[in-house]
Amino acid sequence: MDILKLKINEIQNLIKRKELSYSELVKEVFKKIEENKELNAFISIFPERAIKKAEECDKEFDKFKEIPNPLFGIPLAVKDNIAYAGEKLTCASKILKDFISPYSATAVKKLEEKGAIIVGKTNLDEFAMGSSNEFSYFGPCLNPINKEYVPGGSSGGSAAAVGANIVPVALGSDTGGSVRQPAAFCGVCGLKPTYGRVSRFGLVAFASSLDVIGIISKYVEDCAIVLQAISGYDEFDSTSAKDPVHNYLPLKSNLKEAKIGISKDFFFEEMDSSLIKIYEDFFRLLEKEGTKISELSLPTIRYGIYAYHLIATCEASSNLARYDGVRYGLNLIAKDIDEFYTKVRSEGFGKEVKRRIVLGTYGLSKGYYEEYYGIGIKVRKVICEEFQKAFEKVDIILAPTSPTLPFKLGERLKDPIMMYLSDILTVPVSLAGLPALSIPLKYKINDFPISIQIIGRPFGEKEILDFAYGIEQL
Amino acid sequence: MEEIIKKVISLAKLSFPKEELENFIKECEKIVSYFQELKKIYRREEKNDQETGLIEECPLRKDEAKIGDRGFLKGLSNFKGGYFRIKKIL
Repeated sequence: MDILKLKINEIQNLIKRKELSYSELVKEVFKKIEENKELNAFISIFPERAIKKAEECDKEFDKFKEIPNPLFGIPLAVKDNIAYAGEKLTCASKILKDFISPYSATAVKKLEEKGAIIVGKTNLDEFAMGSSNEFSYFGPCLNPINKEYVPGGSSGGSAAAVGANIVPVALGSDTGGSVRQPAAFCGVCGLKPTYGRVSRFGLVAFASSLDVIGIISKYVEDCAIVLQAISGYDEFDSTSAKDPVHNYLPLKSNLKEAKIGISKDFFFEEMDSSLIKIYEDFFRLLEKEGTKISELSLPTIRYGIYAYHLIATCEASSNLARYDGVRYGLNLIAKDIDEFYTKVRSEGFGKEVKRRIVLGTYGLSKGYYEEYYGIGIKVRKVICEEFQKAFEKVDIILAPTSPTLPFKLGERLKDPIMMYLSDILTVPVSLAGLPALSIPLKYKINDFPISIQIIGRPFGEKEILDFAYGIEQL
Repeated sequence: MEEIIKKVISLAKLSFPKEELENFIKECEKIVSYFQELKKIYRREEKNDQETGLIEECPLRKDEAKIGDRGFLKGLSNFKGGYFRIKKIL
């Protein structure tokens, strides 16, 4: 039996019955990491620290004979742009390759307080900028379903680690689809919570008005368990929400009760016809199950991709200005301070990051600000309003997660615009700050499962988790 | 355009080897023209939506911070004449 294919609660049942110990579980994770080394899913691993913690969990369980909460002793992976105290925080960039984080992100801290064990930091596109995980200083990560293909990005390492059954759950970050798209490419669940639901403290900033910490898991229930643990207000993040955290568990299918909206605006002409046919079949299946589906109009979402790239690059150019070699960065010799900054940043950043910094600086320059960033903000507002109106009629919106199936390694590297278009269906949700969960359906093309995005109202995570749970049971 | 991008590269404290620079500028130009699609779309939308007023002014407030205007600050005991009074250090 592959214990790492089990749900968290099933693993805990084995522990309760003394058929497994936490130490054995964590050692199995490191065995799997070694077996799947070729995937390049991890940038760093912490075997000593993790096994020591697992042994402590075993002792505590032996002493008290009970498991205090579902995450106790469960091994998890964390994307390497999220801080874990005392360990490297590279963001898959040369400029931070030796940076050690002095503190843990609030989300990681909350998981550790529940007894979860962080086994390693996962690969990503440099500073989370990419959709294929090919822009990593540590080399590309591969798709566990077919190693000739990309795992998606930027949380490609987290999605590959869960998809390859190395860990049951991993944290990722989602700015424009970086949790949902790789989850879809690797055939696992990916949740982007509402902006503000999970503290961003300790998440390295890319585009601060869009960044959220997300969850990648094999099962919807595991996703809910982790969300329950990491949600809530944090005094260290002024954008974290004070809204009460719902009880996400137990999950209960709401396929029959929820009012569902679908919009043709999420289905583009360029989309593969076989994909469209699968979604049509799926909607028919839902209707047979008793789900009420109505059609919506969201005409501005197709412009979301332009607005997203304008806003995200502008915010990135500002956020990444801090990497100047003084507080963070490489130690190089230069004749003056200007040359030092330029040398550190030019040698430290990769091509895609440099491209986005330049585009963002351009977009914020005098004379271009209103033409670019200003327009991006206006379109964002219209998209928010359209979603708001739509949620007056429905509880949940369904949309495809990705316009295409996973693509081959190197296929889109020479065409940045094609790469950017990978996120065309996920960015509108990010611009509106809504929660969305990507879940694989039972349909496959060339072994790759087809996923659907379940979009909810602000702080409507409970509804989308229940709906995803219903889909999982079909 | 090429000159503007070169200037922006230097403003962003970046540099490129000569052999990469030309290609980088070409890619940036292509992406900027892709961004310009939104400009066209926006203008079209603006025209169409004059009746509905769908696209309004930029939702961001004007950056005119006036610290003394905020009621909650006025209530603080060490806030006088628009300034915070702090302990003398020297």
